[in-house]
Amino acid sequence: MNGTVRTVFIVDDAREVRVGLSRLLSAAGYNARAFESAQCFLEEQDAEAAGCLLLDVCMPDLNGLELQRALTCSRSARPIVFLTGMGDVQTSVEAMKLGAVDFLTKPVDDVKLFAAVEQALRRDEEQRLERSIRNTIQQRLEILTPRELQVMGQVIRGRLNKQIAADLGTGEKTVKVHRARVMSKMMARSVAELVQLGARVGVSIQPTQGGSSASINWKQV
Amino acid sequence: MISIPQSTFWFALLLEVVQVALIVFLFGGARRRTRAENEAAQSEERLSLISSMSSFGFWSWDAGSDAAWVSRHSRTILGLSEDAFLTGQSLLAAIHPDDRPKVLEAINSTPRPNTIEMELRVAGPRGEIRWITTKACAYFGPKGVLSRVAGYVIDDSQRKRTAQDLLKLQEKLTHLSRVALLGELSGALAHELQQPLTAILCNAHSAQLLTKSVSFNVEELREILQEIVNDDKNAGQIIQRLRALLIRGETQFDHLAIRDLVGDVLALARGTLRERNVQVNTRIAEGIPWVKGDRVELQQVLLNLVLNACESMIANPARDRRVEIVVDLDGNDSAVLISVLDCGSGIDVEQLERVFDPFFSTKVGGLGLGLAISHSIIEAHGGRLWATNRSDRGAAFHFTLPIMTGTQSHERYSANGVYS
Repeated sequence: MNGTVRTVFIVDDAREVRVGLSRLLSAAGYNARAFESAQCFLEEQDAEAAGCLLLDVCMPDLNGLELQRALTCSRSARPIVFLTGMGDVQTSVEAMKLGAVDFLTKPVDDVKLFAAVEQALRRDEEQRLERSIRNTIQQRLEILTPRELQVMGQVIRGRLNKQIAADLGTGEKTVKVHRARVMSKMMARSVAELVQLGARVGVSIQPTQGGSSASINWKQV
Repeated sequence: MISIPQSTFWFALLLEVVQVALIVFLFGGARRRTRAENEAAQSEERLSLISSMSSFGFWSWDAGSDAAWVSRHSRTILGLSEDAFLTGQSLLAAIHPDDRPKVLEAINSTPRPNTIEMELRVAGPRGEIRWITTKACAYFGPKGVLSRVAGYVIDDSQRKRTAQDLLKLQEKLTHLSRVALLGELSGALAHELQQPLTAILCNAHSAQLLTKSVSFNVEELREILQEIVNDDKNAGQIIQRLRALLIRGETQFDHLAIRDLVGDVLALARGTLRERNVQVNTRIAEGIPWVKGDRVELQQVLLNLVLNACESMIANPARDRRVEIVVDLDGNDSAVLISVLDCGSGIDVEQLERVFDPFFSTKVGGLGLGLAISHSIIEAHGGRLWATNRSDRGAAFHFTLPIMTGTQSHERYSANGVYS
């Protein structure tokens, strides 16, 4: 375990299970926080805190899978380990498709539980790192002017300054200047690096009609 | 010509007449006697014909001489040898030892009844138990002294066996529908059971981790152990309740408190109620007396009604699924009235009676036996089960249970609990 506090958020409607799981995870050195319902979790959780979820599938009102769906794509998305009393195949497949780390059946063995929680926490770390990198790239992209963005799109596609200049209807020199600014603002040392940065935040290059020019289309992840 | 004195002649004539009269009289008497004997034989014949055709056997007992007469068929029924000389004692000996006191009690009771009808057991020739029914008349001499008892006896074993088979079949069916009912709960019950088991395992693992460290907190360990004990007991209770309903026992009437009945049923259904987001409200009036009934069968009825109520609200939004259980005295205070109210779509008016018909079901995959069996259970308890529609919305099922006479109310307090 590294220096950051990693929390296991437990959501289960059975009091005895919350008590048991919290005690076990605390004894193993994790920071455990338990909630009696999905609603309570959504209201009281610390959205920024690093960690993972240990989620009961069958709960009244908002059940585990519904909470998973609500959290996917949200800012507070964390890896989820499901705990279920009734391990039916359909539910587990659905949960895994939505990115669950593991689907454990109650009563759960400590070795299996710790392994799943460890895996989930590792994944959370990776995802957090990835998110912060993407954020940085995003921030760099945001300081590009529309023209620089256009040039970047073309560069990524491997087009030469001459071709870009012709496409944009400017001089080759101007393109060179834009290109240098893009490289410096994006902190890329090579075209290959620029391509990588673009790919990381999902900047894709769509050829316009005739294939001579390109526009940048980004999807925010 | 010999002269005979006139007086002599008249004497001889008289003698002759007397002789003839005597002969006529004697012969006539003999003829009459033969006729009487014939009639007796015929009557005996008829009796034995009736006896053999109708499977009736006849018997009588003379109080004065203690001699007993038993028809041939009766001897077969009672397992007595054909030529044994019989007395009151030997008749009594033919009866099953457990039933003998009943017979003696009937004979010696005062005022002595003129006719007695009894169902008794006798031991068959191969030691098997046979059921007989006997009906007897008592005849009294002057001063009301018992002179004779006579009656008939029928072998009832076949009828009794059929009735017993029917009862067993009924019990089996009731049990099967109970098992089916629990089948509906099984998923939720398994889930329910996994909670304490999970907690126990977690706590035990925690204790293992704790004891691995060099200096551990004994107080914490004590806490963990206590938690394990509590969770284990909870799991045990769940199983206990389930077992009680699964076991097929004979109907057993006990003194029951309605509050316990409602509590047991809600505990059994807790998982299912939670799974289906159903809120249950109970209102139990103050001072509800105890009822007499079979705990398991009444649980079955109430559980069936509660689950039906849940089922009826399946189309309602999750926050609008409420069941109310109301317990009060019946209008004339002779029975306890238990009502289960839902806020589902209600029952079509023309189906209000039909819902209790066997194989009537609105559920997909429903057997249609639950309510029919509940109906017969409540009737066997001397109560009534019926359905109505509520004035605003939803259906209501009501049943009554007669109050146990001669008992004080054992429920002095009233608490309105909310189970969910």
